[in-house]
Amino acid sequence: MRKSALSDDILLRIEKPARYIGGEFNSVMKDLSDISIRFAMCFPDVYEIGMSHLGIAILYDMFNRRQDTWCERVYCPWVDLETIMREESIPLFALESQDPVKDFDFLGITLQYEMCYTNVLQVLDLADIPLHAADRTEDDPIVIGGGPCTYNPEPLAPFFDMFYIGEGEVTYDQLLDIYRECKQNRVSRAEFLRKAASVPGIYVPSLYNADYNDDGTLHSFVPLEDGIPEKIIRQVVTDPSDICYPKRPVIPFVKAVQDRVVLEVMRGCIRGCRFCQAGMTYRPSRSRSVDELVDIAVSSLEATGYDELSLSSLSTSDYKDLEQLIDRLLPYLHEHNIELELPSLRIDAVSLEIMKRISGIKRGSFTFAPEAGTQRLRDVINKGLSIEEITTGARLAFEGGWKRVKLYFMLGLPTETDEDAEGIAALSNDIAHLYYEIPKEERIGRCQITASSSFFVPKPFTPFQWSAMLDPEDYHRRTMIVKDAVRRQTHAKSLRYQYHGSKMSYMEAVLARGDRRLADFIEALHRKGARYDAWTEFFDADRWYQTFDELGIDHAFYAMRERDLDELFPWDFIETGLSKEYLKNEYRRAVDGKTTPHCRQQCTGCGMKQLYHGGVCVED
Amino acid sequence: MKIRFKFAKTGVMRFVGHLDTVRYFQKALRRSGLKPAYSNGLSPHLLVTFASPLSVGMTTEGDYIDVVIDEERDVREILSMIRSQLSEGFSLSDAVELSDHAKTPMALLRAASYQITPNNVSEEVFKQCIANLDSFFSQSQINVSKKTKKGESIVDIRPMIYRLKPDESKTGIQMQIAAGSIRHLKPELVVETLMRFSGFEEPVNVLPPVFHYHRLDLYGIKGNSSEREVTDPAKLSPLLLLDIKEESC
Repeated sequence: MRKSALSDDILLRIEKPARYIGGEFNSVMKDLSDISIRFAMCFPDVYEIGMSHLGIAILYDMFNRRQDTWCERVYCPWVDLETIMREESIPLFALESQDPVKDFDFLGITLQYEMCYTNVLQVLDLADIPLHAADRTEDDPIVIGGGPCTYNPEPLAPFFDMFYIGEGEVTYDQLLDIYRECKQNRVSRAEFLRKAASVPGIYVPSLYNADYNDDGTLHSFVPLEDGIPEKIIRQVVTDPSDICYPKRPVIPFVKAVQDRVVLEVMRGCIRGCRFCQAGMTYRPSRSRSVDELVDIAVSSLEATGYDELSLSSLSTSDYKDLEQLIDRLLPYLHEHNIELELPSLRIDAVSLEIMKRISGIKRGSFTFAPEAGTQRLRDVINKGLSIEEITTGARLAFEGGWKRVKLYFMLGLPTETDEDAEGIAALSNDIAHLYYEIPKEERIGRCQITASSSFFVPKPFTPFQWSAMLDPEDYHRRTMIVKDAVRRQTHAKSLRYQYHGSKMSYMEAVLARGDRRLADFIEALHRKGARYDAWTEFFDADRWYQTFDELGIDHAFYAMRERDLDELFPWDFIETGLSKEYLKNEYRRAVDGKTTPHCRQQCTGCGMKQLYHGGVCVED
Repeated sequence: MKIRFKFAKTGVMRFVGHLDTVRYFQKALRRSGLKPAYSNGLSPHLLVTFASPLSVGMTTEGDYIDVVIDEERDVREILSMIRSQLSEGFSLSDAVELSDHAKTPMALLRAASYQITPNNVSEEVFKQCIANLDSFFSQSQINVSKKTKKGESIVDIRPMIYRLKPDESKTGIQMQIAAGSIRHLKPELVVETLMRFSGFEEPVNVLPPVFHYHRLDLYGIKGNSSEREVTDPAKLSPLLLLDIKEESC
């Protein structure tokens, strides 16, 4: 019978106990005597969020294909169980074997958003692993980080033995082979780290030293020893057809946020939106073939029994063979009563036709992401969406029977003025107006336009990495401008405006462009009990500000400072393939309000072609 | 064709809640290679019906799921196709083909039987409870106060208890009580009342729980299934034996 790390009595006391019992269909069990490497793969958030992540599913599948490795899953216990685990000294455990994480060879932690950093320390703490890599012994797991936040891992540097920079499919095998050999030969932890540092994409932070100028900016960042690479090259899959895909994903018992088969049609994006870190760092855009996608979709659906399939990418409309893919998928999906979801579509004639075909007579809402309220500001961020495209798309959608529209905006974008903020209300109103231009007898009731705004957070490796974030008070003022403007519109009754508090975004900005000196801050927050800071009900802005004050950290230095073009950044040791000249040039063009064509219109020399030469860079 | 499965949920899987269990079986059915039938309408859904939800923490060896498929197959084959899709802790003990006009298992349900074993209670207390079983059960009325929206009301639960006895090894209690949409009695309420009858404080919402509840079977009324009330417990029959399709050969 399955073993359980938690007693029945505990399982009866907590919310959703099925989060913690493992044993889900398609989860992988192995015999400890058959394997030599135990890998604990952690998403540092609650189970339902972590189980929705495709990246973990890919690596779980890939590691478990290795005969010598057993990869298991770890998530953060919810706060009810966390309290019990501390009271009863129950160490954090992996779901499959229910064994303590401390017994593993590796603890891999995916870093998907900055606000999970306090959870990372929570995970180490509950697992009874020393927080600082320097304090770990031969008995502790190697703690390795991955995911988008490793494009600036520095605020977490002391807590990790290493980071994997880039796409996991490329050099993990090499790393695990070296580890197995070191383990067999009883090579010390320090020596293994040194060997690992030579694996492409592996960054061992303890082997580097950071020096700072008097003004607080970075002076130098250099390896401490000979033979340790100065630059870490981001690992990229050149052709996605070469890599495996998880066709038997684990099916959670409790409903996950993403409770469906996810089909990754593309990686990377051809658009050059200047605020978007994923759009920049996941270049070049690479597609899977229709044949391969249909095969993956059908086998995954058959292996899971899911009744929903979602196409995933940064911009699915840019998948060249989208119509052909839909043509091939729909007969199978209809026959088996499977729903197709197409998030991140650009609203135009083609996508509306596709949406009509997949939804039959049902009409949900359709979504635009203009990101900015005026054409001037959309040009600054290079959104590549003109007012004509928006109005044509909206008119077609209304004529096609849709009447609910969602609009996504950002506030606080570089060069934004109060007029741009008011433009959010005006654009929403213009869209509503298009609906009321349809003859009364042909429309049913009122349309509903929901505009929501988030706050712009400057991220490393984007053209806005030099830009300043605004003061949270200023953000609040701008949301009030939008709110008031929405109320004054002629179709105000059809408009809704949603916005969030700005302090969490501000803290995200501090961490996103932080350096090693912020590690003490994150640790201090952890010691005060901070965790689940990405959740509004647990995020405590006062605690963050107070801790900054106590440690004498100038948060504005990280968040609100406009950087000099020649400043050395804490993340500059990472070679993403983007040339700094390209980013600078894009930054200048942004300030001048000049747009830049996307990858299929014209190569703009971002640098990827020199380093990776795959996907869109080699298209005809 | 309509099939009724008898299923068990044991071990740590008893922490998988009812709705999650429903979704688990729906996915297993969709993976099995059978052709499941769907409802008509805008949002077609699988024709899968459970007899009765089971509380989180309880185990079962006698729950039922009715399924409709769009094909004719041997019941043994169907059983093995679904079994191959179940993970540890879930199992199917039996399956029967139902007649076309079979009622849903919820509509048929009149009673449930449980095995109750001590979990967090001293042996003496439990022995005392077992010793009092006969005198408890032979009462003509067992009045309990129930909290309702309007306040407290007194309910006689005796008519809803059909069978109550120690199990063969005298290490547990077995009971058959009313279940379903017409009259429903929670096994916990019987045990709490029995404890109070035996002179012990009733364990309301105590954690860890004092007893473990294991469902043994679910029952409907034999013969004329339109009978609403259970007047004669001898007429109760496991759901597995009701509305079965007549053998044509």
